[in-house]
Formats: sequence, C-alpha cells, structure tokens
Amino acid sequence: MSAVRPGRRRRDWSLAVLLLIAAWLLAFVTPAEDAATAPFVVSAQPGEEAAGRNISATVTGIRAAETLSGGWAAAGVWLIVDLEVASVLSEQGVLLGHATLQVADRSYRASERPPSLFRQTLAAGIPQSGSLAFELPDAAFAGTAVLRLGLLEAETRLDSLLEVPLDLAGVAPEAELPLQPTRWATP
Amino acid sequence: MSTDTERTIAPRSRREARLQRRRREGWWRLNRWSLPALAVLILATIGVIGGNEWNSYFSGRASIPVTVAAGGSAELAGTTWGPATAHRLDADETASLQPPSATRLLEVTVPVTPGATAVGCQRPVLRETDGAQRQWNDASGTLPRSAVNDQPSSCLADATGPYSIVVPFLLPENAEGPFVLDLAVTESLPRFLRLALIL
Repeated sequence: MSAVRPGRRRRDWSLAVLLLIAAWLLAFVTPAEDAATAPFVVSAQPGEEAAGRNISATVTGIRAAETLSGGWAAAGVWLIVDLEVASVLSEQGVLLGHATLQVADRSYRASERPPSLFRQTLAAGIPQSGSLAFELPDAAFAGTAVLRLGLLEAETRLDSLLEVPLDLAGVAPEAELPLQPTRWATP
Repeated sequence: MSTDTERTIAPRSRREARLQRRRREGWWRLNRWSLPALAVLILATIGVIGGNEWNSYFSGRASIPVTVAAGGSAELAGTTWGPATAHRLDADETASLQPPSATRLLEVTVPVTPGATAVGCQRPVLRETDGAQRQWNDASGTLPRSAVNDQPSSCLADATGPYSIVVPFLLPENAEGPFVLDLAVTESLPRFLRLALIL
C-alpha cells in the first residue's frame, strides 16, 4: 500500500471534524420526536374568536369565586371562564371534550361536576354561550395561565387546539358566583 | 484476480461454465429478472395490505354514496326511498320552537316504502355540497319541542307499510345550500343514500 501524503491526511481529518460539527448542529435543528403529530395551535386573545378546523371559541370573561351557586364547593378557588363556542364543519359526535388550563408547569382540566359547557355537544355554525369551571389552588392566581380548548379530551394530535392566554393576577375571588347557563349565544 | 486465469482453464462441467459466465457479467445484468420481479412484488404487497386495511376500515362505514337526483327515488336494501323534499319553516311555524336568532329551521321529508323486510338506518345527516361542505345532525332533540314530534325522524325497523321520515335541521343563516341528505341504511353498508334536495 502506498504511503498517504501528509497533506491528504490533514484534509481527511479536517473533513471529519467538519462533519462532526455539522452533525452536532443538525441535532439542534432536528424537530422533537412528537413534532410530526403535534396539534395545530390557534391562538387568540380574550374577546377574539379563535377558529380551528372544527371548533371556534371566544372567551368573553373570567371570574373567580370561593363557591359556585348550587352548593359547588372546592378545596381551592373556582376560576370561571365564560365563553361562546361552536363547531365549524360538522356536528356528528362533536363536543367540547378538551378544556384545560395550563398554570406554570401544571395542567388543570375543567370540572365536570357543575353543569357547564364542558363536554357539551356543539352546533355547526351556531354558537352556544356558557361557562367552564376550574378548581385551582390559591397560588395559581398570582400569574398567567393558558386556556386550551379542543374536541377530544385525551387526544389533541393532528387537530386544532385553541389557546387563549388568561391573566389570573387581576381576578379577585368573590364569595359566590353562578356559572352562565348553557344556551344559544344569540337567543 | 483470478478472472484471467479462469478464462484460460476449460470448465470441467456445465455448472462450472455457468458460474464462469455469471462471474463475467455485471451486477445489473445478473439481476435483470429479479429486480423487476422485486418491484412488482413490492407494489403488489403494498396493494394487498393497503387494500385489506382500507376494506377493514371502510366496509362497516357509510363510505360509498348512492346519489339520488333531486326529485328522484332509489331502491336500497329492498326499500324504496324518496323523493326527498325540503321545506324551510317560516316564523309562524317556528315561534313555539324558540330557535336562536340568525338561524333557520329546515324540515326534510323522505317517503319510505318498505320491502318484504323493514330495515334500520342511522340518523340522517344534512350536508352542504358547496363551500365548506358543513354537516348538521337531526335537531329534534335540541329544540324545546319538535314541530313534527308525531313523525319518525329515522327509519322504523318494524314498519310494514309506507311512511315518511321527517327530520328538522337547525342551520345558521349563512347556510344557503345546495343540500343533500345522507341516509345510511344498516343492511347496505358501506353503501348509503345521498338524496339531493330542492328547497
């Protein structure tokens, strides 16, 4: 075997180092494993309509109370989110199944105890108004939260997920408040 | 390499001769039959597996429409369906139903003539054929009182004579049509009726 010239050896080593650096950089731009099945997030502010593939919603207000009318008590504080919601394309098996509140690193699901919009069947193109109720610890009212709304409770992959940021710091809990009754938004 | 050496040595058998010829041929020539066969097998495998999966998923669902033109009727599962008609309920007819504002109530009627055995069906679905192609469910249960509470809103599995399916649909005002009524007959799946409507 003929001897490798020193210049060629330096070139080969330089190329190898460059490829290693490129591989290291590639790791930074490679999407996460679940990126291919992530939900399609639609963001909106309170008062604005967020419209996804088959769900649209508008947060019309947020309130807080120690107790809900009807005797619904909680260990923490109730956060009431008033909203209007409708489906967009179809009604077959469509309901507001995913309603969560992300506060820091914790996620709270809407309570199914008091009658509310949670798990309500949606009408295509016809909004309904009502409330969602979340049981939160007192400490959650110190900052902001993100409300997430979708159709399937445990499955948000590859479908629209509505996100609305909420400022909980400006919400002062009252002693008792009622949930808005679920009804047509424009009776 | 031994190739030159092999050419100068006479093969002792036909098998050795064949092996020598194969060693002299290129890789593509060697595989000129197996590669196309492999391509065909791969495509066939995809087709068979995909077809099985498709059939398993769709065979039990309403996936093959039998389109019926407006004013026409069709026979499915030994039963005659149609012609389907649609009627927009006016304010006087809807006053007691308390529909929300910015909506319209559409009443769809489908005459049904059962055959020797009555059939069952899923609840009808109203579908827009243009634009976003939205779908609406039967609104009988969402209104305070159905305007046609003495008429069936779905098939009667024990019917022996002709009857009519009457289904109310609550639509937003911007739903202009044209519309079709999708009616899935259980005994005929995956075929289902798609009845065009005239308002």
